[in-house]
Formats: sequence, structure tokens, C-alpha cells
Amino acid sequence: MERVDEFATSYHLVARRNDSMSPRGRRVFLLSILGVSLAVAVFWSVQGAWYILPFALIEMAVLFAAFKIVEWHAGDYESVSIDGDRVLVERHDRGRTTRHSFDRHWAQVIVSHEGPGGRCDLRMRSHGREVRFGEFLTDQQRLQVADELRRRLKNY
Amino acid sequence: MEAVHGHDHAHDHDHHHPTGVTRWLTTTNHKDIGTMYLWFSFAMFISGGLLALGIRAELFQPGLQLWRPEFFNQLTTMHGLMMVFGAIMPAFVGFANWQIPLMIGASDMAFARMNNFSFWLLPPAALLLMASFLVPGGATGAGWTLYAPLSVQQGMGMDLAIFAIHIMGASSIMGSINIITTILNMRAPGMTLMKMPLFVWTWLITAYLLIAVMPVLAGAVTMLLTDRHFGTNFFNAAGGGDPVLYQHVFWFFGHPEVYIMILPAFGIVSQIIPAFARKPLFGYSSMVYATASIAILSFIVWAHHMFVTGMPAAGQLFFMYATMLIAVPTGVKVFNWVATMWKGSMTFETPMLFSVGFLFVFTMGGFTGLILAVTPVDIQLQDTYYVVAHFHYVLVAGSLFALFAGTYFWLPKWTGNMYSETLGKLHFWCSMIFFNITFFVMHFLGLAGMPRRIPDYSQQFADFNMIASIGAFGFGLSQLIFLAAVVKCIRGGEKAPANPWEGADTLEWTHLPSPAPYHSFETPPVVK
Repeated sequence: MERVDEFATSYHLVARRNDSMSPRGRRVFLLSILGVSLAVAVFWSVQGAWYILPFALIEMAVLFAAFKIVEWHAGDYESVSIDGDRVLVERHDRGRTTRHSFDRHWAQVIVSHEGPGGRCDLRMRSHGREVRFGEFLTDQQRLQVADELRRRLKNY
Repeated sequence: MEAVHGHDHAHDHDHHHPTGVTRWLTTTNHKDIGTMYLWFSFAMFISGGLLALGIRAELFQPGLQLWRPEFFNQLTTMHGLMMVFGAIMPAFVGFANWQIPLMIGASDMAFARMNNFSFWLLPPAALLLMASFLVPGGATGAGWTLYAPLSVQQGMGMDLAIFAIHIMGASSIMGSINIITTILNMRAPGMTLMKMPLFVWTWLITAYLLIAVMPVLAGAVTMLLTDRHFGTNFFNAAGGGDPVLYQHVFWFFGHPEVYIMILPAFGIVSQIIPAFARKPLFGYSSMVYATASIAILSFIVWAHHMFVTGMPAAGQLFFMYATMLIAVPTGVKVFNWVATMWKGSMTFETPMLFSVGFLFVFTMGGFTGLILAVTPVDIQLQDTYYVVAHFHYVLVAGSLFALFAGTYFWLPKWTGNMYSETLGKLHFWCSMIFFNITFFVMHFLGLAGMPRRIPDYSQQFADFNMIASIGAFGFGLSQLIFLAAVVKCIRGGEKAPANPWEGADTLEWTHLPSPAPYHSFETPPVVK
């Protein structure tokens, strides 16, 4: 969770998906496993058992796709910004960004405890619209963020 | 602004989950899928076990009592295929599904829908295998290794087995990809690779092995298929093919497969022994490196299964020494487990009993493996009951005992109830005693020259065979105690605390209640 808090009237919070491996680490691991699989398949193809190669290629394609999907999600983030009289909730998912803008005077922060396993849910609500956020935060962080946002919205 | 107990229908899928059959068909929850893997593997274990009892019933006395020789061969083949691909491998995947997310602080597996698909491929494959008994000519009787040219000549049951292996292989590959991506990318903040529990490490290496060798198996059985039906001659000597090539290809898959079935067992035991010795695992780093070394060496030892096919002396020496080399990292592991127990404050609840039992009996299987690695000895003992004894010491006393240990260890976390220690201990002692009655005498049968995969034998082998058969039925019945212990634990019993084991310190024990909630670690914990 990164927080940029420049002025009393502005606030910016970014929460990123937990990603325990660096892109470089992922690439090294993927290349090593692809290298071993390919070496095995080529070795047996040279020996005459060439049917192994297409199976290895299919498997490597699936593995590559899996790592690619993980890579796409590795950049996922959510941000909440308060700037002047606007509150912006932004969600970046698989390279696509969706933005929800709320009027700061009317925006409400809703905390409920109906999430899976009793965890708390965090939503921004205004004019019948509701957006859930805080997916990448712990319960404790969600409650902290809710308090912080409420304070800033109230004091405006 | 006040906290409101709001309700949002858009997120209902997070709050509730389907019940009944739909839950199990559509679930993407790692715990549900893990449970299904475990029950599936137990069903296959019982089915494969019944086939084994069919084998031992026939071998109770010399002469042909119950089965035609062709059917006897079908029993041995299907017993091997069911146990390897249906029981042991899926059981470890079940453990991986349940435990890996809990142990690394992840909410689920990386690809939850693929996880569901991986599991649901297995029941059709199992049905194909079992249905092959009913087709004209019956199931394949070529042995679980499906050696050509016998497998090229057999009936339709062979085609069903090939198809089943393809499906199970696809399931394994998807499972492995899921496990690798989960472990690499979804570890809780602070959990570096060298802080991962050893069970997670062993599975990471196992999944790597699976990905490397599964295409080899798929290629081998597809070549069999096209030799049988599409006029190719990969393994048909009459058409210029080479049956020995099949053995090379098969064992290039088959030997790493042996480690695929034992490395996760090492991981389970490495979690249990420190917990019940109340000491940290001795030599954590060396355990990781030893596991990786075993995996690497497994690629260069395959031809020790083929010393009698004829190979140059240099080849024999290479494969003999390479095989012996595996004893070094394995010895490191055994030493570390013993050193972990040394001066520990040990107690012997059922998981620890099975782990210590594993240590004793698996090590014996390891030693007989070392004996079989010696080329001139192997040439004498090839295809005898000594080999049968060896790999059952490794796979039953090794893999299976570790699976039992792991089940008892994590049952409180899975069910929220403590298992019956009385039933657990009874299960252990019965299993241990009957296992040795069954398989120890097979060493003598093999040394005396009794070949494997025969329904009849000379009078000289009668006594030991009778003992082995009695042991086998005892061992089979002992597994009903296991079923009773598990069912009793699921249905109720003393409530388990979050951590019923004093020395267990992985995340599932320290951060989650028992039973682990349906959704756990929605946001990852921080590991110090």
C-alpha cells in the first residue's frame, strides 16, 4: 500500500496485488523449464521418438500462456484519489483501467463485514452507485483506509 | 460517517457457495478440490488394492487356483497403473491443493478453474481404465510399463489404457502448471523462497519434474497407439522399429516419475518430524539442495532399469554410478531427519509414528535400491520378487506411509476435529506389521529366483508366498481402520484448536482457526 498525501485537500492511495516474484525471476524460471523440456524433446526426437516434440510444444505453449496471464495480473492495482471536490476510484486489471468518479460532497465510505470468512468489505457509494475497493488490502488496512477517507471527506 | 452493514448482490458469489452436487462439480475452491482429489485417490487405492488381493489370492498356493494366466497379468498391470496414476499421484496433488495455499498464505491456486478441470479429468480416465476389463480381450496385461512389442499386440483394453494415460497426463500437467504459478507468484509478503515450508519446496521441484517428463510419456504411448493402428513402426522390429527404444523412452519418464511419487512424501515428513520433535528442521538449506539434486540426477539414471537389454560396459558403469550417486542427497535427507529428532522433545502421536515408520522402512527400500543399482547384481535380480519388494518398500512404506502421516497431521486443520488416536495408532501398527509380513519375505523369494508377474510358481517358493498373501490381506483390512478413523473425524469428535501440535509453525497452524475457513488468506499475511 502506497500513500501520497501532499496537501490537506488531496489524497492518493495505491494498493497493488501481492506478487511474490519479480518479472525477471519469472522469466528466468520460465526459460529454465522451457529449456529443459525442449532439450528433452529434441534429444528424443533425434533418437527417433519425435512424437514427444509436439506434446512438449503444446505443454510449453500452455505454460507460457499461464505465465503470461500471471504477468498481466502482476501489474493490477487499485487507487483512491481525492483531488479538490472529486473522489476517483481507479482499478487496473489485466492492463485495463476502469475509473469511477464521485462527488466529494456526496461520497460515502461503506464498511461491511460480510466478506468471505467474515472479512470486511470496503465500498465507495454515491447517488445509487457503489464501487467496491480495497481488494489488495488486509482487513486492518481496509479499516484504516476507511477511517482516513471518512475523515477527509467529512472535513472537506 | 458510520459503518453500514450494506448488502451488495453483485458480490454474492464471494459470500455464498453452492451446495450439494453442484458445489463439487463447479467448485474452484482449493480446499474442495483437494478434498475431491483425496477421496478419488482413496477410491483408486481401494480398487487397486482389491486387484492386489486378487494377485495375492492366486499366489497363496502354487498352481492355478482362481484366475487364468492372462487375467492374472491384467491384474498386475492394472494394479500398477491404478496405484501409480490413480492413487499415489492424485493423493499428493490433493495434499498440494489443500496445503500449498494455506502454507504460503495465498487465497487459492493461481488458476482456480483450471484446477477444477484438472480434477474432473481424472474420474473419466479412471472409468476408462476400469472399463477395460470389460472389453473383448480384457484389460491390458503388458505390465504397468506397457513394454513394446507386447503392448503393440494386445487388444482393445490397451487402447483404453493409452487414452486414460493421456487424460491423466493432461491433468497432471495442468496441476503442475497451477502449482508452479501459485508457489512462485502468490507467496505472502516476506516469504522468500528459502523461507518456504519444505513441503512447498518439494512440490515446486516435483511440478518441475512433471512438466519436464510428462510429454515423454505422452509421446511414448502415442507412438504405441500409432504402431497399433496407423501403420507406424517405432517399436515393431518386423517393420524396422526398435522395441528397446520404447524402454528407453518409458524409463526416461519412469524414473523421474519415481521421484515425483516420493519427493512430496519427503516434504510431508519434513513438516511432521520437526513438529513432533519440537525442534526446527535440521539443515533446511541442505534439504532443499538435496531435493533439487535428486530431481536433477533422476534424469540421468533411467537405463538402470534396462541393464539386461544389453548395453556397452561404459553405459552400464555410467548408469550404475549415477544411480549410486542418488544415495548421497537421499542420505543427507535421512541424516537431517534423524538429526532433527536428536535430543528433541519427541512425542509419538499417529503422524509421528507414521513418519518414523516411513524413515525406517523407506530407508530399507533405499538400500535395496542401492543393491539393485549394482549392474551384476541387478542382472541376477532383474524381474524377480526382489525388485517387487524394493519398489513396494519405497512406494508403500515411502509414499503411502507419508500420505497417511500427512492425513493424520492435517485432519484437525481440515475437519476442525481431532482424529481418534486409538484408531490412528491401531492403523499404524497393523499397517507396519502387515506391510513387512507381505513384502519383507519377497526379498527372499527374489533372491531365490522367483520371477515377478507369474500366476504359478515352484513348490520351493510356497511358504514365503503364503506368508506374503496373509500379510497382504491383513494390510488390506488395516486400511479399513484408516477409513473408519477419517470418517469418524469428519463426523465429529473433540474440537481441534487452531494449532493442536506444539511444534508446528507454518502459516496454516499459526494464522488460521481449525477448521480452516472456506475462504482463507483473502489478503496475504505478512511473514517475518
